[in-house]
Amino acid sequence: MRIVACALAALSLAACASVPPVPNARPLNAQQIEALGGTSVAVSENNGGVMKSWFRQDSSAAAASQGLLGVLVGAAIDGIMNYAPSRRARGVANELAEVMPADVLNESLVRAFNSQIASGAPGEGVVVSDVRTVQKLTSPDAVDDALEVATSYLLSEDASTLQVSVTLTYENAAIPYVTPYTFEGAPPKTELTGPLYRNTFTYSSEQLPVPVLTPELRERLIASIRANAVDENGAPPAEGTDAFKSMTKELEEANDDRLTKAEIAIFLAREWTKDNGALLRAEISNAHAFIARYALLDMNRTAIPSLNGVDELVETLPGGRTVRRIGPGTMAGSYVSLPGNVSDFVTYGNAAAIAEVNETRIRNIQEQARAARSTAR
Amino acid sequence: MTGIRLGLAVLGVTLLAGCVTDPGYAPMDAAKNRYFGYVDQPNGDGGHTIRVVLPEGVQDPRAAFAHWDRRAAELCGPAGYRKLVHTARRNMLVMSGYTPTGYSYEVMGDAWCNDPAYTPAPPPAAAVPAE
Repeated sequence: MRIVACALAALSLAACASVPPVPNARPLNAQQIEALGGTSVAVSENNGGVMKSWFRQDSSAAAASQGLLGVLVGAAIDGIMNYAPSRRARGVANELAEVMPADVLNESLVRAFNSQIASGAPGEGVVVSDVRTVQKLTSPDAVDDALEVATSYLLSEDASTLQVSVTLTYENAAIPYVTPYTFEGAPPKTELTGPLYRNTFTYSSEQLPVPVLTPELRERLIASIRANAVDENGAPPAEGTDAFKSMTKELEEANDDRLTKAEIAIFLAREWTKDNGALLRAEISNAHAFIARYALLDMNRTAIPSLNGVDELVETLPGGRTVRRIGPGTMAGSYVSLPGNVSDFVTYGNAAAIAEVNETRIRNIQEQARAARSTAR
Repeated sequence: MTGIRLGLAVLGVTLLAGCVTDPGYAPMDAAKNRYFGYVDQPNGDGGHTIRVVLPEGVQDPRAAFAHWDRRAAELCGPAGYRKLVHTARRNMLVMSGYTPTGYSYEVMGDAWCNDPAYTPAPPPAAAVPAE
């Protein structure tokens, strides 16, 4: 399966090679900065809240090559393998949503941008004139003449690190984007349209230390696995079901001498929610402050990123946290805020669990939007 | 179609076979198709940014941290260094329809030499075979 995946990756890369890549970041030029001046900030309401990443086993593509039987067997195996991890990730997302509802996230980000209003004065380039929120599920079109802020909050697979990712875009119908890059032949279509300004900002929290496996910890792990497997009525899974097979596999893994990322998450997830989410609040507040501050600085920066650039250390904060501007590659020009002393490898999975309350929120907003559209017709 | 798929798979194996070997402690060199190992550059703040990438199949992924420290020691000499390791991640190959597989372990951070005047010795010149 790995072989096929890698072969496909090589093919995909070959296909991409025909389109000349350019950095994702789109800086403003001096005339545009002067023209923008006081700029409205539109924070896209985050609906997913803090999500919990996990690895979803997916053998659908490989199984498809073995015909219908392969598809059925693959789906059955995937179901067993994914049952417990998905359920546990959802549980963590639910707990995170209890201490940090999506609305609280949005209010915090609005506050962070509001605090930038006083820092800029007219005539000093791009400054924040006002801050509002916009619901993209009901108003998906770009907001004209406003800096749009889209956020994503994701807890790592082992729950040791929270990653806050933000994409900023500014579009203005009166000032179309003109690519600053030169191409052999016509520019790619992606360089002919889209926002005048764009960049991404990523904040990684301090990394929680990984617990050491002790006999007591192993007992807690086993208890947690059994608790995760019970149904709504508290009954353990029936033998032969996906839930039972998944629990059995997890119990076998719990008895070895090493903690997997998923097992570590069982212990570390609690650190984010204890004391009414004090740690979560503190990190999100730091992330929002970083994003609001550097958004404004970057909108007044005219340097055009290059695929062959060099990483730049922009700021070193107390405690060793650093802010860096990515140098090479398509993410050139984007900003990262990273902790000082990382000691273990982190991954963010290929699936993100959303809390039930946030899933319901998204569904309700979509239904209201549909109803509104029907009424308008 | 099956033949094409098989051909692609063989191509993938061939490509991977050339790049997943554990390089041990060695510099990266894209010109020689060495994408694993260590690389460093001045960090613009009087120090060095060091990056170590080891392939997924490496026996001990934590060797990436050891390689990072070894390179910092080489750059800074006996007076030692102050360090900030800011990134440690396991990079994954993620494709829809396939279970993600590990690709590499990456460690990155800054080292500031306690003796900024220290100049590391140049690497030994490649041996020239006798004629």
